[in-house]
Order: sequence, then structure tokens, then C-alpha cells
Amino acid sequence: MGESKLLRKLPTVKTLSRKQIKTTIYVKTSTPYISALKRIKKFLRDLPKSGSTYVVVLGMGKAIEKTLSLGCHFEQHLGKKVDVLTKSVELLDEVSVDDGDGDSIKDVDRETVLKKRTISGIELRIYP
Amino acid sequence: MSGGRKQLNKNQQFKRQKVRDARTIRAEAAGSNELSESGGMLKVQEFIGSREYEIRQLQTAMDKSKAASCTRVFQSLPRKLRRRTASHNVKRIPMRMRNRALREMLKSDQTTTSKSGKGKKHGLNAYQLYRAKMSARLLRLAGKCTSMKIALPADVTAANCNLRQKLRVLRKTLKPENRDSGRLLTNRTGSYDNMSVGALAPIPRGRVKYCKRQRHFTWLPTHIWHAKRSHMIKRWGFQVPWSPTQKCFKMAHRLGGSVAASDGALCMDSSFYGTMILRDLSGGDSEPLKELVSKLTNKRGVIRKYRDSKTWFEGFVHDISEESPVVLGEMDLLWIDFGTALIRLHPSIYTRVFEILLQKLPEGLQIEDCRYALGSITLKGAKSLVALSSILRSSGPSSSYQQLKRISRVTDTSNLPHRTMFAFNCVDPRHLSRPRRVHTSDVNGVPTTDDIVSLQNDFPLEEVTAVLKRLCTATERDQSYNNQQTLKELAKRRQALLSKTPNQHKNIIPYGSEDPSIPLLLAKRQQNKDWVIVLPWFWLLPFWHQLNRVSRIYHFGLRQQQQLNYENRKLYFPDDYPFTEVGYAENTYKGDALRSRWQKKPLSKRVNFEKIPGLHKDSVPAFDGEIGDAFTCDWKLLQLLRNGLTFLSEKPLKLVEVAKTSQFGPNGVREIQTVNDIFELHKDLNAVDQTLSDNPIKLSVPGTSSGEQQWQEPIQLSISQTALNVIPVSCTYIERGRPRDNARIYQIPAQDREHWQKVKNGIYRADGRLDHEIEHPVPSITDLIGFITSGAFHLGEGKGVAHGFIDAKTNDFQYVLIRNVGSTTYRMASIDIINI
Repeated sequence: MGESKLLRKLPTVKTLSRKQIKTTIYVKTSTPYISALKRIKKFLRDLPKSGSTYVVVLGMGKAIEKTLSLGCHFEQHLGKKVDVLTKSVELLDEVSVDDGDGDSIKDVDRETVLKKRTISGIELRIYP
Repeated sequence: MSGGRKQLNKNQQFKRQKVRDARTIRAEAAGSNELSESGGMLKVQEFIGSREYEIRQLQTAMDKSKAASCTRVFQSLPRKLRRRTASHNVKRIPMRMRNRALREMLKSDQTTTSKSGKGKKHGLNAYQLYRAKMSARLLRLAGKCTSMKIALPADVTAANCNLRQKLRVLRKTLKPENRDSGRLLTNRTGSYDNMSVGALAPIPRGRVKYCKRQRHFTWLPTHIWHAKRSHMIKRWGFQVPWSPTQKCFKMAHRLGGSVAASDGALCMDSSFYGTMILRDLSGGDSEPLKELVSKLTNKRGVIRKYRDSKTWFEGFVHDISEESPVVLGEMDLLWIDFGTALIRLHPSIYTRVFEILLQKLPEGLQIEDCRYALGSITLKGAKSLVALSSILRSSGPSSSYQQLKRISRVTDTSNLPHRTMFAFNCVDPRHLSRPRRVHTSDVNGVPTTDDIVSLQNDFPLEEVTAVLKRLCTATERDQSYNNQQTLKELAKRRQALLSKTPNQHKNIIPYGSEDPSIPLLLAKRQQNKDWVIVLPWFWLLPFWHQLNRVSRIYHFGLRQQQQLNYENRKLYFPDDYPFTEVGYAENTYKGDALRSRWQKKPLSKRVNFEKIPGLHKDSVPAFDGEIGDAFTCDWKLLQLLRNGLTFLSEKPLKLVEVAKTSQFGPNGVREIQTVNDIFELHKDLNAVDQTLSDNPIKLSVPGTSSGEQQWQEPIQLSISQTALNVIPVSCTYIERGRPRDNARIYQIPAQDREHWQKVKNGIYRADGRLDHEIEHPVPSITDLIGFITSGAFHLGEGKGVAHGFIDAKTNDFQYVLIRNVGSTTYRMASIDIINI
């Protein structure tokens, strides 16, 4: 008998709003620091176009440290106003159900259920 | 006239002055009060103030000069909206700019296009006039037929029938006494269900005017729409959109890729994917059907997840007429109930699978060809669900539709459960005068994780099954065309609605009991990361038109599908499936095209593949240039080489035997004793037969260790007929560079491992930058382990990424070297096995 195991970690739930898409950056652990800096600068430059007042930088889990160091750079070196907000982020995990098929089938073919998990995240608001 | 500058007229002078004025940049007078009295010391406040002033002036000068150079209003439109005819016809210009455009057109005394009037009558001779009149008459009669709800007689649709005969038949059917005997349709639009049981369905009877053009290649329902906006290709019995006319490589990457920055969606009419339905007539829990599907999908399609829970299945279809299961290609499968299964296949393998199934069909089972009865639209990108929910309206209360509305604002498809499927009876989308998102009052707040969990837990299975059954029954599909309205009728109803309540703007014509309700399935495809809508063939066009009116929805073709599959690191059928018959043929086909293009070039302008110095560490007399065929992935060579090397590995490996003169054995067969002999054998085989029937490679089945290969006499035959096991890999470049199709994959030789380890860690120049000018050691011929089927620069990764196949027996699964065809540069790449 196979036991239930974690098959896939799902990303956060994102919703569509054009304004938000054009002003939000999600920082990953694999995002290079300089690339993130450049992208934020580009977003700040284009703020008048999108009609928003600040750029949002989001990071969760392992990426929090990198996100905060980005915030520090904008606050201290470039003298921008930066708001830091902490939040808890709800995530979903895809966990396989023990359906008695054993190890004979691939992971893709297993029945799954979604389980909720909460982790901490951080939001920076960088003003031009 | 004396020489010198040309005298400008008044208008030119004005223009020149305007530009000159715009470009002047003011600056504050130098030496104002920035410096202190004694000089040398800066007054910071004043200094900053005057720099600020300069920057502002520069900015305004840039803005002004931009405005001065713009002459006509339509030049300010974005590229997507520019029309060549906009300079003649104001209707091509957006409403808000039209007045200015008209003024400009009048100013330049330009001829404008007004309402399209009757074109000039050209002088026709008697015969030409007769022909023209006859074809006009044919169209009129055919139009009359459809509007009287009479199905076109069979003689009219046969494209080889002559014009006068067609006219005669039409007139006969229209006669009052014959009207009742003809087959009656249920609507005035000529829609009917085109399905056939146990045989391939005939090409749909389109409009009389375009019959002849569809003799060899069937049109999609959206053909005319697409032909105006896309490059089309004729393949697999269909005319398929290849790529939009406007450049869209980056747009496809931005909108269609699974990135958080996507704020639009891409859609494709994927009706050329064929659908067939397997049905057990006895009903109930059908064992023979289960067994058949099990064989077809190599036991995967009948797993509980797919059969009991009705999850959309994506996997391989196998040839059941063979002893051992041979992969034919990709397939989608959906169990409607235990006695019915819906199968979706690529058009290149559809007929093959259909005929195999027909032969092997057990007693009591029925196979229905719904190729021209069910159409489908594929959507990719963040806005797909928003766009869909703004054109779809359920015709009755439906919990599935409620679910769709609830999660319509979710952009990232990957966090929805695997079984995400919506099926409901839908209202004709043309009832909406323009697509509009569902009211926010219906949907309270932003969707949360709870909604997504409930999507899985509260799946309305019974309701969905009922709609799916409707979708899969011919009579029910025919029923859905009942009272399908023409645009005229709909416009009339809309007018009536507006005149009844003049001050209220109504976007939707209310759904009445007479109106058709369309069974519709919307399913998420987990692996392809897209959405598929399946609906009756003749309903596809209204949906398509409405969908394309949603903002930031663009269409795409096969080329973009290939690109997006590549970016998702997924294989694309048929180009990336060389282990299947169709994929292998595609490889040869593309190779032939490349070769003929190369041959057309003059000698001095093309790469000489025969002679490329410094390609490998060692050379053999058999060849002196590019390894294998330069225009394809030469799988035959890979098979011979890898099999030959396994065979030769029993003795110490020799590249070439210098002392020996004869390469042939006593019975006149080539001996295989050195590596050179393998390449000679490849040459021999190529000379004998260009078209090799058997596929030289096969997909390695993970978990089954093949054990020691047994070679039989004659060795040559054994080597060239044992298919090589390959595995699909995705390679990511570590250094700079860009892989191309057909690139060669080499393993890293044991003696050079240390060097490449250094390259991986990065070799830096004295100025701290990466050094790309290092001399790399070159691998040997025997290190060739595979080929790249699709390679390019990956915009998402910012690196070169390539997909290909390598010999499954390779020991080192971490790094490889990749070399483009015709070049001598080797690039190091890390490899991941693609799970399929």
C-alpha cells in the first residue's frame, strides 16, 4: 500500500487586475538580486503610466531576506520611502490519497487532495 | 539660378521653424549665483535648482519635438492597431481620433473612401456574363434553400458536379411539391450534426460558394477569419493557422507563458484535433471498453483517477494492432461515464488510430467519428478565465457555472486542482451585444484558497456528466442547433428590446424558451497548461467571434504552440517525437526542406558540411566533416554508433586499423572491428536505401533494465536493426550561446572532466568578468550521445535551452556538451530528464 505524500506545492492564488500586474513583483529565491533591482526601477519609472502610487514587492518564505535587502537598498541608498508589511500567506499543497494502487503507478496518476498551509510573507511598498 | 541652398516655400519654412523651436533647450544663464562671491565654492541649493531647471527643459524639449514631428493622427496609434487603409478610410481609425483624421484628410485634398458602393461594371462578353449570372444565381438559390430550412441536396455539395446540374437540382428541391420530401434542417443557418458511426465522417457541407476550395483540405469553422489574419498551412487534411501575420514572438512569451506578468490571453481554434467517441451500446460498467482503453493507453487511462473520478487524461496512444505497444503519439481522454469515452487526437494520427480501432473493436462497442461534429478552442494565459466568463452565460441554474464565475478572476492556472472542469448548457454568445464580465455582485470578493479547495470537494459530478452526455449524443447536438438564429434575427430582437425600454441599455437579449442551449465543456489540461472548450462544430464560430472581442485576447497558431511548449519544457507533437512514426517522418520532411534551401545557395555562400576542420579530437577516414546528415537529427547514425560501440566494448576500442587493408570478411560482408567500420556501414546503408522504414530509436521505458544486449550474427544486421533506447532531456546552457535545432549532444570525456568542472564554476579574466575566449578540449567522435530536436534562446530563463533525446545507457546524468551543426564550438549544458 502506498502512503500519502506531498506531490506538488502550488503557488499562491493570484487574481487579475491590470494595474496590479504592472506594479507587482514577486521575488523568488532564484531571482538574481541585480535583476530584481533593475525591474523595480523600471516599474518605478513607469508608475505614472499605470496610474498607481507605489510599487509592490512580494516575497515569502525563504525569499523574505532577499526582499528585505531590496527594500533596504531603496530606502538607504536611493532615499525612497519604503513601507514594510508582514503578512501570512495561504498556500495549497497537493497531497496524494492512499488509494491502494501501491507503487505501480506514476505520481501523475495518483488521486490527490488539496491541503492548506500558511507561511509568512512580506510586502514592500516602494514609493517613487 | 545660382547654386547654393534651395529656396524653401512658405509651408516648408513654417515646418522647419516649428521643428527648430521645438528642439531648442533653454538653460539658465551661466554664472548666475551658483557660485559663492569668491568663486570656487558651490551654493548647493542654487546648484540643484538650476540642474533641475535644465532637466525639466530637456524633458519639455523632447516632448515638444515629438509632437512637432507627428504629422497625421493615425501615426500615433500602436502598431497592433495600424491599418494601411486608414489613410483612405476613416472607419479604420478609432472613433475618438476620427474627427481629427477627417480634418487632416480634407486639408491634404485627399480622395477618401465613402460608403462601399457598387463597383464599376466591367465590360463582359456574352459568355462571361452568362457565367457570372449563373454563379450569382447559384448562390441565391442556395441561400433560399437554407433560409427555408431545407438541407442542401447531396448533388450540390459534390464539388466535381457542374454548375448547371447544381442549379437544376436546387430548383427542383425548391419546388413547392418537393419541399416536404427534402431533408429539413432545424435552423436557418444551415447547421447540422455531421457525425458518422463506424466510418470516417464526410467533410462538412460548408457554403456552396466555397465547396470547391475544400476538396483536399478541410476548412476550420473559423477559416475565413483566420485567413485574413494568419499565415495558413495545409497539412494533415486541414488548413491550419501557422502563425499570426503580425510579429508575435515576444507577445506569445509574455501573455501565454506561465508568468505572473501576463495580463492577457492567447486563443487558438483547435478544431483540427479530431474527436472520437467510444461507446458501449449495452451500457453499464463496460469491461470490453475498459480493456480496449487500457491497451490503447498502456494501462494508464483506466486508473481510478481517470475512470472513476473523470479527470482529463493526457498521455500516449499506443498501436494496439502490434504485439508490443508502440507509441503513436499524444492523446487526450475523458471518460463520460463507464460506457463512454471521448478521445482527442492530433490530425496526423487520427485516421490511423480510427482504423486500427475499427478493426480491433470488440463486439457490442461502437465508434463514432466526431471530427466535424465537435470543435474546440484552446486558451492559454492569465486572462483566459476572465475572457471566458465574460462571454459564457448559463441557460439555466447550474452549479458548475457558479463555480466558474467564482474562480474566474484566478490568473494562475497551475494552482487549480487537476480535475478542474466545467460543463453547462450555455446561451448563444451572440445574445450579448458585447462581452462583459459577470457582475461583481454575483461574485463576492476575491477568490481564496477555500474556493479552490471547494472546487475539488464540491465537484458537481452528476450535473457535469449530464451535460457531457448531451455533448456526446448526435441527436442532442442536433437539438442544440434548433432555432440557431441568424445575425439579422438577433439584430431585430435587440432593436425591439431597445425600443421597448429606450432609456435602459441592455447588453443581453433575454434567454427565451425557444432559444437554443448549447452543451459546452471547459476543461483544464494540467500538462499543457491550457484550457480547452469543446462544443458543437457549428457553434464554434459565434464563440470565437465574441472571444476575440475581449480586450488583450490574441489568436495564435501552431508556431506559437510549439514555442510555448518549448518554454514550458514540454515536448511538442510531432516535431519533438522522433520515436514515433509521424515524428520521424516530420524530421525527414524538415530535413529535406532545409537541404533544398541549402542547395539553392551559391557554393561560396553556404557552409561546406563535407569539410569542417577541428570538429573532433580524432578523425576517421570515413568522413571529414559534419557528423551524420547536417540537416536532420540523424537517428540512424546514432543507433549504429551507440549499438556498434556497445558491441565493440568487449575488446579494446580502436578508431581505425592502419595495418589492415581489406574491410570485408570472406563472404563479402563488411566487418565491424573498428569505429571507422561503423561509419562505413552508415554510408553503405544510406547508399542502399534513403528511406529507412523502421524507426531506429524507441522511447526507453523507465524501470525496465534491458540487461546485457545480445548480438547475433550477422552483426551488421543486428546493430542496424536493434532500436536504440532514448530518453527525452532538457538541456540548459551554463555559458553563453544559443542552441539550434538538430544540434549534436556529446558526453563529457572522462579525461576532460576536470576542465569542464572549472568552466562550470566560471573562469574569470583579470578584470573580474567571465572569460569566454578559453580553448576548450574537443570531445571524440565516439562521445556523440544524442540530438537536439528543438533548441533556441529561452526568454524566460535568459539562457539557451534545448530539448532532445540521448542514449538511455549514458552513465553521467549531469552535464553534456552541445554543438550546433556546422560549427566547432562546444557549449556546456546541464541536463534534466523530461518526465513524460
